[in-house]
Amino acid sequence: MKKLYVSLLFLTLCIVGCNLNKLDFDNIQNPPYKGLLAQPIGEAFYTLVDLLLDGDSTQDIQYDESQLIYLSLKVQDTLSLAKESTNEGMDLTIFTKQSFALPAISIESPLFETFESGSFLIEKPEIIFNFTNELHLPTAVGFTSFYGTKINSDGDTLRRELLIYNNFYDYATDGLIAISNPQIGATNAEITMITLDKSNSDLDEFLSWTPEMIYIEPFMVANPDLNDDEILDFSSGETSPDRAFNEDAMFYSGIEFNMPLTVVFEDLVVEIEIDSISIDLDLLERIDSLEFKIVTYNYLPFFGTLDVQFLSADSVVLFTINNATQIMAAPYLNASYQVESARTEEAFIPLSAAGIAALPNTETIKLLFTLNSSESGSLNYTPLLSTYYLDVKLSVLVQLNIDL
Amino acid sequence: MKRFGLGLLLLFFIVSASGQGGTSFYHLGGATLQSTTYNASYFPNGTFFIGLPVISGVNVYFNNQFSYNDIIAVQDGIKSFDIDNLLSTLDINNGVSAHTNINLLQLGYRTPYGIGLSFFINEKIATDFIYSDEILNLLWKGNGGLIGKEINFSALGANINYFREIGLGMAFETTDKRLKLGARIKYLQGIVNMNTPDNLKAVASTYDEYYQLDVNWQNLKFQTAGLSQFKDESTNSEDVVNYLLSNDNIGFGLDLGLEYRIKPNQSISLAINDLGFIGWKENVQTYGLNDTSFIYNGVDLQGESIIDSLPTFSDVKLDTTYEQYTSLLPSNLIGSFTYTPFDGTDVIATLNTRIIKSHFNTAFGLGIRKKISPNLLASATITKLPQQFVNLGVSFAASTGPVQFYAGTDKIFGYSVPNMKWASFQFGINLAFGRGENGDSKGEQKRFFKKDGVQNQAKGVGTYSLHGTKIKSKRYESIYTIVPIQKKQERAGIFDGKNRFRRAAAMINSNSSRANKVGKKFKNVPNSPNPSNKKGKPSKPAKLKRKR
Repeated sequence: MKKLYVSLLFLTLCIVGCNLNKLDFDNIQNPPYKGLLAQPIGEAFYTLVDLLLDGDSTQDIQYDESQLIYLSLKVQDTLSLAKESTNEGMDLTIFTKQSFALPAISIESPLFETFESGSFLIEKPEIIFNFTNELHLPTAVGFTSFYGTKINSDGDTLRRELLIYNNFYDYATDGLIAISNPQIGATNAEITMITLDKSNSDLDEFLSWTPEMIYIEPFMVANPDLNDDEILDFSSGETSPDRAFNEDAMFYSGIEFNMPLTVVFEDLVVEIEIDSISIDLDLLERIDSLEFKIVTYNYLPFFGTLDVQFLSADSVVLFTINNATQIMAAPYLNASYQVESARTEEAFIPLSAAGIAALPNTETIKLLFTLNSSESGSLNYTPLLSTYYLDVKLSVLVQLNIDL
Repeated sequence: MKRFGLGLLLLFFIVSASGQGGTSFYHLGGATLQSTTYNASYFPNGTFFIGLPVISGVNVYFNNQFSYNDIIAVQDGIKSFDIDNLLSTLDINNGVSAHTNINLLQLGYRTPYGIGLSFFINEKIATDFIYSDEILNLLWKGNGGLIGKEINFSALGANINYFREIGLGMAFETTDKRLKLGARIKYLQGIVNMNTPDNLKAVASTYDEYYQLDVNWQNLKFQTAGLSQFKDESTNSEDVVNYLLSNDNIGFGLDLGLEYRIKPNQSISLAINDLGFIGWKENVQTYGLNDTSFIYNGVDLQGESIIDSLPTFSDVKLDTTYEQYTSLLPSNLIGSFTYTPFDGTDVIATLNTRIIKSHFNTAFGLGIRKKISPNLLASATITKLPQQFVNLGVSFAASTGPVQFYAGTDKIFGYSVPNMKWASFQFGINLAFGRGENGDSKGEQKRFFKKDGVQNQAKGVGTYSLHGTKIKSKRYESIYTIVPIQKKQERAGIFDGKNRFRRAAAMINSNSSRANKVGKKFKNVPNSPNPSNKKGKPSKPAKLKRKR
């Protein structure tokens, strides 16, 4: 009987477990494809010169033996005083205070056009003017104007004057600096060097304003030692003449500087554009989520944060990712300011629905790095070496949602 | 896409490879001529055997990681493919196997010297497809969840084989009956093959740094043979028939098997099957990509367009070649241990491994074999096949006259079509001649009688046979066989004058019995000095001497 019961139990289990329903393959719906795809977008390698200097600038960048970057400029103008004075309607044979304009100087900044905003302080900004004077008259120069301009994001041109302190001038009330002149009868020329720096001007602040162009309009004054309307007359013979107009005298004016870029950066914004983003529109409409990953290998002596802008074909900002997180940490520098080892940072930047919606019309992605010399804002001047660089690697993690 | 999904599903259900099913049937031992397929040393009792075309043997094995219900979800009456659930059911390595073996002809003959010879022709379709869960995860979930991991596509392989084997087998047993050896040599006629090379290497990685894609592959090929014979419209039916009967796709295979008796009630079996290859020469087409290695780092963001600078794969070409190739047969290793606690009852543990593209797929079985009657042998086995939960299998071989019928399955429970992941069964009818009443061959009986008085090693170690009568032995100790104490009247009747050798003694020294030829029907010598040989005088039973 036991065997019978066991057999019946087995049979029951078998029957209970049986299901001979036909497999139904009709009307089966496909699930949406929700693959999570990771893909590199690309890599950019920027030297410090790439980042700071305007590629279109014609200004020379100089380096010293330690690869310290110098901004250099040398401009020279020559003036025939007799001819120029005649053109200006002046008569230098009359010894009275007379002035006329020297050739204007415009300096295209090799630095500042690349900066969106922020500032930097150069530790020792200097602009050196040199004048070679053959005129046998007391001479002085001044600046009709000394200003910088830049174009803001709205396309408006902004202007800022250089503030020159009184200690810069020899004739403070007139805003004039005396230029040496040769004595009567001397055949040599006198050379005068005038240095404009942050002791006699706000040149560092002026440069930190990051002007794209600097305009200097100098003028020359003969007989600056005389009062206005005062005329010296040596025809009576009572006094010996201390000045004379030598018609063949030439006047050379020049501007020259070699500014070592030892700086402090404060929220200096450097932009990097990734052009020609071409992504399949159909694919863009099937994105559930998107996250950028930005990896920086920082050989720059700066800390940095990042904002990202999506620009349309006509450079209209469609969407901005404001990311306050630091994505660049300053590397360790040795005593020679060389980077001992790069600092690697990763930033994961998820894109909101609005950002995803902006992607189909995005032509360019602009990365805006905000650089600071220190996290605390202290004034630690750092020499900029040409060996500094930044390596940026950009990738994306996309969650698709595609109906199959 | 729906068709693709459906096709994929059907492919997984239909495609298959041979071998690991039939553990329960294997546990019948050498009961049938088909047993030689599992272990070449197994040869059934009998003199002459005929396996009729087709009906003598149909063997079907199918094994898949998932079922219909694993991939189809129903919610609110709406059916949909549930790929996520499918992926959750996968192991690290997975496979789809479907094997069919049809006996076209099988003959067996046991010589007077006990050597078993067999000749067989089988039609075999063996389909194996292996894949890793990582590959399907990559395809369905993307590489985003696999960042930093190396996806090895080398775990992807296929071998779809349709071939005919024509072979000769031989099995014999050593005179001390401790060792059985067997071998089968097979000539293989290949008909259709689809194969990925065994040396396929393909690896894909997504680097953690910024998701660079590192891809490289070697020998990424799909070799086919015989397909064009069937799909080419210019091929007429006569050509197809000729191709099916004979072609240049030739190979050879070898099966080796042994059974060794360690102790009277313990034995081990080992078999290596399908060592061999087929050289595919006819109607060969190989599709492949040339060896390639690249790392995609994105583009140069300082100038190049992303689309323009995507890799063009200009160096990657899909080639079709017509070079002959060789495919290895998926070999099969079967090892088992048999313990015989009682007469006619064996407990068997089996490990069954099939080597598919260098991957070992192992099945386990623990079963019991019982000789229910002289003409009925049955086994019940708990099986654990690769990728599957344990199940219970049963098999039997029954004879009536010269007709032997056998059937077996590894699976009794779980015949739910929507949940079906695997099946394994075989059945057939043989004609067997020269079998004794107990199902033993005449030759076997002769040798069996020679051993009268010692343990019947072949038919149940727990049995003691004395003077032609079986009695159960309790256990063995050293050279002694311990049997139950017989009733007085039975003991008394041993030499009762009417049935001189009717009953066994209660305790026998086995070696002594063998040495003294106890049980042998020797002639009564009237002048023998041994009074025990005198008619009408019962001898005293021998006493057991224990060695300490």
